Amino acid sequence: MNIEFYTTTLWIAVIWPLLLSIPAVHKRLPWPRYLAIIPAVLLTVSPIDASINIPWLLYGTGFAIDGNVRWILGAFVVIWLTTVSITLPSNEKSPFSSTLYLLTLTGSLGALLTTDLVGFFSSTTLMGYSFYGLLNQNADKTQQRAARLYLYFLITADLALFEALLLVAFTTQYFQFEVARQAMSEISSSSVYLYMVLLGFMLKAGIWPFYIWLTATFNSGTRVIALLLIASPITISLLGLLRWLPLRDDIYITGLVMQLLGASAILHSVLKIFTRLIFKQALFKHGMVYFTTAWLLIAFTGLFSLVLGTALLNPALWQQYVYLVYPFIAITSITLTILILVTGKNHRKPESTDDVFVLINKLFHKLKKWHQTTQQLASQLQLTVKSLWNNSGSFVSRQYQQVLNDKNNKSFLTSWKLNITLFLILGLALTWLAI
Amino acid sequence: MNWNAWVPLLVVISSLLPGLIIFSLPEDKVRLRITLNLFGALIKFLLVGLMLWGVYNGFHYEIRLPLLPNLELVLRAGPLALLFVTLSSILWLVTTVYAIGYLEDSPHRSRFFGFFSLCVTATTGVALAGNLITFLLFYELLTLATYPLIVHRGTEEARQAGKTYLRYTISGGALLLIGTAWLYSLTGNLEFTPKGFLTNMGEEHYPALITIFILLIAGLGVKAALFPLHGWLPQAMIAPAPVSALLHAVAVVKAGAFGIIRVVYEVFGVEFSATLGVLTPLAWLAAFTIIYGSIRALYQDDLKRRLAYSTVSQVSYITLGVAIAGPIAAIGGVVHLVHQGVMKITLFFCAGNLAETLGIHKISEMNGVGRRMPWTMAAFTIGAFGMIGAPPIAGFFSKWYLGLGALNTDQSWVIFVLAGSSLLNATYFLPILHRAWFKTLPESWPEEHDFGNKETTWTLLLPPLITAAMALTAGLLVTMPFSPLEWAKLISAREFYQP
Amino acid sequence: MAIENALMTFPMAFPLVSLFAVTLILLPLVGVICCFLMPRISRTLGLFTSFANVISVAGLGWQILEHDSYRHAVGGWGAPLGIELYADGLSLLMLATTAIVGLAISVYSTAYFKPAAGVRFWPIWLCLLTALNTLFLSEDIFNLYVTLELLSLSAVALTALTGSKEALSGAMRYLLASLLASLSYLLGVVLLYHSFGSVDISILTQQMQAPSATLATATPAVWAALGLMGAGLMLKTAIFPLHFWLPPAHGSAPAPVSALLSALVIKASFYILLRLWFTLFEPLVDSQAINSLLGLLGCTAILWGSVQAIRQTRLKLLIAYSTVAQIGYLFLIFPLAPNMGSLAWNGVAYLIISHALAKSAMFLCAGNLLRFGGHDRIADLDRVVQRLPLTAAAFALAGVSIMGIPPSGGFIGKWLLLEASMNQGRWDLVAVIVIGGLLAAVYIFKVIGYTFIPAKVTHEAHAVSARMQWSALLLAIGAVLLGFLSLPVLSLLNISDATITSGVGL
Repeated sequence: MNIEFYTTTLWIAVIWPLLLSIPAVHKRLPWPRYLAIIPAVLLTVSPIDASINIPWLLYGTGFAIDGNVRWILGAFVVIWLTTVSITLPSNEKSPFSSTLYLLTLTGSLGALLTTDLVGFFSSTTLMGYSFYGLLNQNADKTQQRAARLYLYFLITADLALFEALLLVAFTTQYFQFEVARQAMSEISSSSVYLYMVLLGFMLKAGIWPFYIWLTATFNSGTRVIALLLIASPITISLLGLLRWLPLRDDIYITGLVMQLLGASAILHSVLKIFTRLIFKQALFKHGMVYFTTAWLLIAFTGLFSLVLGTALLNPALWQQYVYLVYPFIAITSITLTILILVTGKNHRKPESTDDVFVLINKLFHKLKKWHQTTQQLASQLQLTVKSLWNNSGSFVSRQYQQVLNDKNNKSFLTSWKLNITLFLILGLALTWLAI
Repeated sequence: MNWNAWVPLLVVISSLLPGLIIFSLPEDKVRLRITLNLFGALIKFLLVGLMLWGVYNGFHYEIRLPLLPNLELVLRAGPLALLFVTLSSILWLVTTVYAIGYLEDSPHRSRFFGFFSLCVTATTGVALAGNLITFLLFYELLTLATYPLIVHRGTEEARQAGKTYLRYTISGGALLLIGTAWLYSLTGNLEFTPKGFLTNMGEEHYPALITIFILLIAGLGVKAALFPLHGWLPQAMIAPAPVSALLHAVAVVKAGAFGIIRVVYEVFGVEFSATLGVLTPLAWLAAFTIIYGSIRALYQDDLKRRLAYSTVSQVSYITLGVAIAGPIAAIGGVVHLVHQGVMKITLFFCAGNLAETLGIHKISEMNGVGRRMPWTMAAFTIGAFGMIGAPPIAGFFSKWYLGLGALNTDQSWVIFVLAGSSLLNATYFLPILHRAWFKTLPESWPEEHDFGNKETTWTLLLPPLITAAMALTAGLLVTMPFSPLEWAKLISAREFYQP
Repeated sequence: MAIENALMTFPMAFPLVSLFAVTLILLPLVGVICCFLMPRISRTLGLFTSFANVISVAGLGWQILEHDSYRHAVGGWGAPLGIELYADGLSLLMLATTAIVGLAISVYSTAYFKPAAGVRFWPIWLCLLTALNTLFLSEDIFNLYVTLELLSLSAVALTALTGSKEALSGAMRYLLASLLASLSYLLGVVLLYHSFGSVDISILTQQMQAPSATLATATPAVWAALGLMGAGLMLKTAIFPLHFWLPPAHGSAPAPVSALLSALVIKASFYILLRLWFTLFEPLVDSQAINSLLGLLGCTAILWGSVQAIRQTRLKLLIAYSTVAQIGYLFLIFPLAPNMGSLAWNGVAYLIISHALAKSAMFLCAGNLLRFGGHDRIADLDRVVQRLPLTAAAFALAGVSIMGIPPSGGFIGKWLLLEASMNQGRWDLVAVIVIGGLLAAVYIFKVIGYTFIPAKVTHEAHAVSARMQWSALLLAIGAVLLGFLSLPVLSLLNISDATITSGVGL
């Protein structure tokens, strides 16, 4: 009975926010954002592991919860509830904010609870694009630019993951995390898969060196956005990395590279924070709070990639201690949340943005200009060709007219002289040919 | 008396007869016309449902009528034919509802609906054709039936568009005719056969067969909007929205793509085509068209034109799937026939809604339109994401199978094409969505019609919602029996790669 | 009078089939006389005669289907002395086409002509019908000459019916051209009669094909006869480059007359050409060169006529030039028939019939449009697709057949021709056939396109009677439906004397 209750709750936890996201529904209910997360809270607080198979959905996906996931889910629920409680009532009324919010929630919960790659991929897609929508809610120019940057990374990441998924499908017919990972670990050509997974999730989680969108979003966003960012895209992408990554013995170079990246990330963020300290700027005041948290976050994901690198170098060891990673993610994200909560209340937006970001913008302007020039050239070419064509056409038709001026049937072609001659020639030709 | 034989003919007649009657109706008999239309659509739908069930259980539906000595008109409902017929009958029903709403109070409706029905008749015929000559017959009929729809508005611009359309399609038809006649004079057979009927041809015929292949594909490629032959499609956008919807999703474009499937798999046979070495160039051409169409779409500000170029790109997925030549890629190509149809028709319905309700034709006018018409734009969003290939919408699974098929046959360059196209799709669809949902509303719309507190009339709103839901369902329930994908697998197993 | 004698002398031995055949000739002739005698009821008479004509053809067809091809010695005097009537599949088809098209045009004319003009029209039209029926039943070249002359004269008279300046000059040109052609033909007949002492086709054929006759055949007189008769008939058929008389004549005549001229009259001379070519001239025209020449003319006609049609701004002239192009298709039989007999033969026969139906429908449509708007400028058609839907539909359907788009009679014909030329490896002909179809699409859709849009200059519309619209539409539908009737039509076509078609390998 109890188990059945929880298995039902499992899929309700995903479907319920989706249902609520329809404007007509959530407009008629009080506190829809709280309501939406109730089943998820239930799942978190209950100690029972449950799972359910839904064979008709996608390639036979399912939902499950166990101790590891519960950590992440717990952190997720906590951050989520915090976000809801600090959301301004005015924001709640903005037309699609609730819908996007709840869609993001659906996507995140789906990704957290699902048991297979396709389900995970679908859920993260939903989450990613709804989150992009949230970034755009009531956004000013900088925020929109940051959102766009996020979008670019998102699309690229999804493409990479799609390729990875294709490779899985090419190898095996089963998409359950464990089975797929096992299968991908066993075949020899899995390095492409590995790179794709790494690339995809590093882009999605903003792991160094792909952190630009993260700092941009942080710098321009609000507290709610910052919190959501930690809760949804980053945490879930890290989880995804844990679930998708194949572990094999012979890929230690990748492991080394990962470690190197992780170390650089930590070094970079430490440097960034220290330069602030040296210039005696308060770390947590006057717009610096997001800067600092962002770099702390980067350091954290860097740490994660360091750990992951270690895992790639020594899979056996990793298998022993992997259960520690989940609480690590959960606790760190909650810590960051508290940091933002405590310090970020009087946040003002900084005026400068990241250099790279400016650079990218410039590049886009250049591209736009270049495109305009090419279009101008093309249209000119078209004009020239057209006029040439018209000229030659009129020349031909003039000649044609002269021969064929058959108005009033008085042209050369219809004259008796010509036609009788032709008639005679034809008769003679027939005679001659008959001989 | 074998009743099963008559079912395919009845399916064709079920839209022909209402069409002919509608022609003769006076303009003001609205109710009778609607009844006839819906009645025909419903009958067709039921008959197709019957055949679906029957074919699934191994029944055989075929009728042969004499056309010429040694040549017959054959209508046969195989799995592949049924896929296309089902698509067209469902979408016809939906589009009819939409067209009724769209053309409310506009002139010449009898003419419009008459040709509309003829158009569907031709499409059904194309789908059910059991040999190349029958196919050709309905293919040409389709050309003729669509022309009046394109020039329906009766403006000089429409006439020019119609002229361009004909210039392309009639030439295409001529190429197809030559190819067909040549094939017939060479082999004396035109019957669609699983695995093709040319396998026994000697090597001395190969040059001729390659030429025939090129002729046939060029003839079909005009309608399927393969690269150098796609010019008519954006021009034909002058037609009313339901027409563009049907043109892009079901009728004309798909007839071409469907023909390519037939020619490659059931005339030449995929293995034999590979022997001839014609598939790789075709695949490259399709790939190029995919990218080219997407790039052209980027630069269109007119919404319908952008969608048109998107069609150019998307339909070539089908060709690509065929040309990759493997059982899995074939599934991807065939299923995209349905998936693209459902998604693209949604997009066109929505574009029509925008035009009809707010007078919006350009993307630059779409600021904040999502707030004014949330349901329409929700449907549009689903369609657009499906086109991009975001899971779990149907389009994702087409790309999935295409990619997988490419991997299976060691043509991994296709994956890059798919990825590039997805990227480009995102680049031209997402800005629209962004504009619609996140930009601020303008002071006034170009030409607003008032529908009270509803965003638009039900007849306009319901069809895109239904098709969007279908696109979503086709993705979510992808492994259920009778889902397009499962049916495509059935086709692959029973017709293409028959053991 | 000889025939009535025959009726009285051999009442028992007179078979049913002869009754029908003779009726076909006498019935319209009686109609002509009655029309002259009773001009008041000439309309009724004309309609009745056309209707009875259809029934007689049906009867003849029934008999021929039962008993195979038919030969009848008029007055009991067979060849070489008397006149023989002959009917096989081809002539039956021609007769049937004539009857059906004729009936439709008669129905049309009852509404088209005002009584005053009708008084002149009906007798001449029935005269034309007599000539046509007799022509298709005749079996000797002199008889053919007589009918041909009768045909031309009545056709010219019909062309001049309106009496306008344009019509008169067109008719004059037509008259002179056809007189020239008839004379040339007659000269050929005389030469052949001089050489062989007979005018009966089958006898001539036997004599020319007999091995002993090789010497006799190889005389300049026979060669000259071939040249004269061939050229004459081709002038009458208006094959390129001798088509100069056709557009003015067909373009300026009243609509039903244009329909008759395009659909039936030029087919008659082509029919004779076909008959002569594959029977008595068969040993002479065996050479590749002569057939190639005719094929070349056909090809040029297709291209030239189509291009000219595209250039026209007036509907009737466009249709007239389209006829010039379509005649070109018929001439493709000459290069194709020697090797691919039955295919080419069937294809051309099919084209003849479907062109007759489609082209007459087109001219009738042009008449409707002319009546409706008072002009036939293509660019000013002014939304007729909405205002005159039946006519527009008829034009479009007829156009389908002319373009050769399936399903239509024109398609079947072109398909058979394509097949024949492909089997023979004549890719030049394939190209011409297909390009001709494309060009046809261009000029037909040029018209159809303008029917959809409003004109810059509007005209007062006049009512067009339903009869006129429906007769055009039914003809056009017939042309399209012909696409589904190929099996019965082709089997009918294969009924013939072995000798007649031995040349084409049937």
